[in-house]
Amino acid sequence: MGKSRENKGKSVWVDDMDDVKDLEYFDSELESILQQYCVELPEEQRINTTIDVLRQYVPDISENPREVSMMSYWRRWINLWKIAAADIGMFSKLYWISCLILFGAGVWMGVTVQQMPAIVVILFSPLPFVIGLIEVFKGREQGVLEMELACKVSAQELMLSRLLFIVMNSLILNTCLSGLMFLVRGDISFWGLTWTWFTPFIIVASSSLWLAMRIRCTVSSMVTISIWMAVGMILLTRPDMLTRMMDLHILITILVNAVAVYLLFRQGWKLLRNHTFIAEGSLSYGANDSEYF
Amino acid sequence: MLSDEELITEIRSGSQAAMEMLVKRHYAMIFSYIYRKIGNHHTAYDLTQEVFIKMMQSLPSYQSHGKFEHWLLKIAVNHCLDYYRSKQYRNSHVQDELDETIPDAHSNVWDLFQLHDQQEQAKQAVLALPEHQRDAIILNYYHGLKIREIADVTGANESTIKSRIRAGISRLKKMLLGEEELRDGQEQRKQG
Amino acid sequence: MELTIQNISKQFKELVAVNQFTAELSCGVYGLLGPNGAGKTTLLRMLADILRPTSGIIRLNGQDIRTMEERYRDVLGYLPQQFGYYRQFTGRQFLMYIAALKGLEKRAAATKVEEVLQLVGLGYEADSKIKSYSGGMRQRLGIAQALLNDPKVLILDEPTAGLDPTERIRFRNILSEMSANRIILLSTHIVSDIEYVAKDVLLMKQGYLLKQDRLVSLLKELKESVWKVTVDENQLPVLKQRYKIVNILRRDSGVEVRILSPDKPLLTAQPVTAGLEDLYLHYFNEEIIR
Repeated sequence: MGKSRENKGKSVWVDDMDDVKDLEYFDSELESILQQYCVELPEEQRINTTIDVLRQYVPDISENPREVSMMSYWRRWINLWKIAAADIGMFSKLYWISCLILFGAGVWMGVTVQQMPAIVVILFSPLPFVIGLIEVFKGREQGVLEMELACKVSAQELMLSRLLFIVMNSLILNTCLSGLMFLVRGDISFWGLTWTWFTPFIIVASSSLWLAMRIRCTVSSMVTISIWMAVGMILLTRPDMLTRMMDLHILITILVNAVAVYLLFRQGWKLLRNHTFIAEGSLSYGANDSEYF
Repeated sequence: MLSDEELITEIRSGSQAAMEMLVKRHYAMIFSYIYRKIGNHHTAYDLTQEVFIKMMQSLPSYQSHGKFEHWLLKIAVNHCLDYYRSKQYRNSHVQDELDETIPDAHSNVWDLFQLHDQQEQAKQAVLALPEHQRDAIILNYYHGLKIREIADVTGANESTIKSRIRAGISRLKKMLLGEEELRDGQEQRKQG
Repeated sequence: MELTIQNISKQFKELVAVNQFTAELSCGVYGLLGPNGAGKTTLLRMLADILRPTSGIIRLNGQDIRTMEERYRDVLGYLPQQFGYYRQFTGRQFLMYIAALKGLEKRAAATKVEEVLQLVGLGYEADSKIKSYSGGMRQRLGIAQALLNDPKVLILDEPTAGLDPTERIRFRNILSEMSANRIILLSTHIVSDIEYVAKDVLLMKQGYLLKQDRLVSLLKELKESVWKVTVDENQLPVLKQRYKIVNILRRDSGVEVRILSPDKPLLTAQPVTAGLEDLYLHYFNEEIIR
């Protein structure tokens, strides 16, 4: 392939593949015709129609708020614990006092009440958690949420970290209670006891969380506690019913536990992912938005 | 001014406005390519829409190797190819043997000389080109793509592209200016 | 620093709270004026990335703030219209808490907290419990928390509500000091907040942007439309019926009325320079609070 030069002076067909204007032998006469070939674009209206058709292909952000990789999930998990550590000081005294009282009462009853040690544990196990929920949603309650939302650590991370802490705390308290009772009394097995309280704890925890995320927390906590107390009273006065429940086939118990744990995790997950849900929900309930309600 | 890649990131995050911006930015380019390729305004509109739909569907897996515009043009080129091969087209058009080595197109020459409108001349001339030459010419002349880029967009190699352009120009000159086809790098003007 | 608001809309079920709002903000103080229900709070919440717009994009220096996430909140300071506090905290403790949330490291936080406390004049009361604070003090605490991370974008929703005139002057001074390389947007009913410090005024009505312009230009429109006239008490009812009254001052010599009217209302009326409250009445047909 040789080089060709036009006498008209314009075009040079350069063999060099890296050269900028490779094939310039559209001579001026050809060009003058070709360049007349203009394209009339469709009207803006029609272009907008095309755009409207394309809208359905734009991913819907509200369903998948963030695309996060596995690595950053791990990072966020660690972050949550860091936040929790920093945040503990923020838990109100009432929470700690309630926990202490509950624990003390639990120990007292567990040690002194002769029959059915299991009942004691069952009754008391979910309470620290339910009271803790008040702490978790504290910001939402007291109108601080809106300020927290505009901060770097997002509010849902904050709530989730508090939630984690509450769960941990409850588990520790309950385990200690069981442990103490085991040590003081000789008639029960530690694992048996632990297994006994775990189920009600998980059930109440996940249902309370579910409730709390939907209605204002103090109310739901009160409701849950009251219901639980009522159930407890009934059980105490009818030991045979309790025995029947405890004799339920082990498989059913496992199933119930698994479902409850799963629900608990799902609630927590939702809390983490659905930023808007929290914000819009609580902002409607929270601040006195005279503009709209 | 946001780059195409930045707009794509936004679209992936759900931004409708970014999608609008991206489409409006490249609509003219795609439409004009398709129109010159196909020759029919209405069909070009539909095909353009389909190209953008394909674009949206491929966005999640788009990785910025090279210019976005060329990636988009590639979709357009392939989509037109599919269109020509489709049943729809076969049914509504007489299937020409778009053979690149057809030596004679004399009848076309006379028809073209009848058309006074140079724009129409140009249009018909371009449409009379065999498909691959047409692609190469349109991309090179009307879109300013370099050989390497055309090769990338159409999937052929560079020397093939060069010869297609050369053949295309020669044919165009013949149709529009009445010149003899290119032989051995020499040209002559045919009188009359 | 440029905040671009592109066609922002927010819809709550049937209510369109914000409608295709478009504006461009750069460094300086901007006043967002509008009557109750205009959608100001909703707009500000979207700018603070607390609420997601139904459509439209907000960009900071070209980047969609939704994709910026934490990086946006790093440079953001926000004061909501209504807020609570943790009762058992002292002012200082609360600010330390917010500082932690804003990602400030403990030592840096302590210094910064002290700094903002002095700035808003809560140095003495910093270690008393918030529940003992007056309304004005709580408001100042709110302003303080918004400043903790040295924000480049400061969004304030009615920041001077509950502040007495001296406090408001102090607030205005803080703002104008800070406005050199920050974007400050504040919504307010109160004229004096922005009268001397605002770069542009954005007028918002029923969800959309009525106008954005420099205060001077907006006031020019009202040139020769604002009048002052002294009348007798008994002439008032007629005047009230006929004209838009901006305000009324009772003096010894009679009742001094400020009227908004394209033509001279009374022979004895004198033209006066238009001010922000005249502007407010003109656009919103409501009286503004002074």
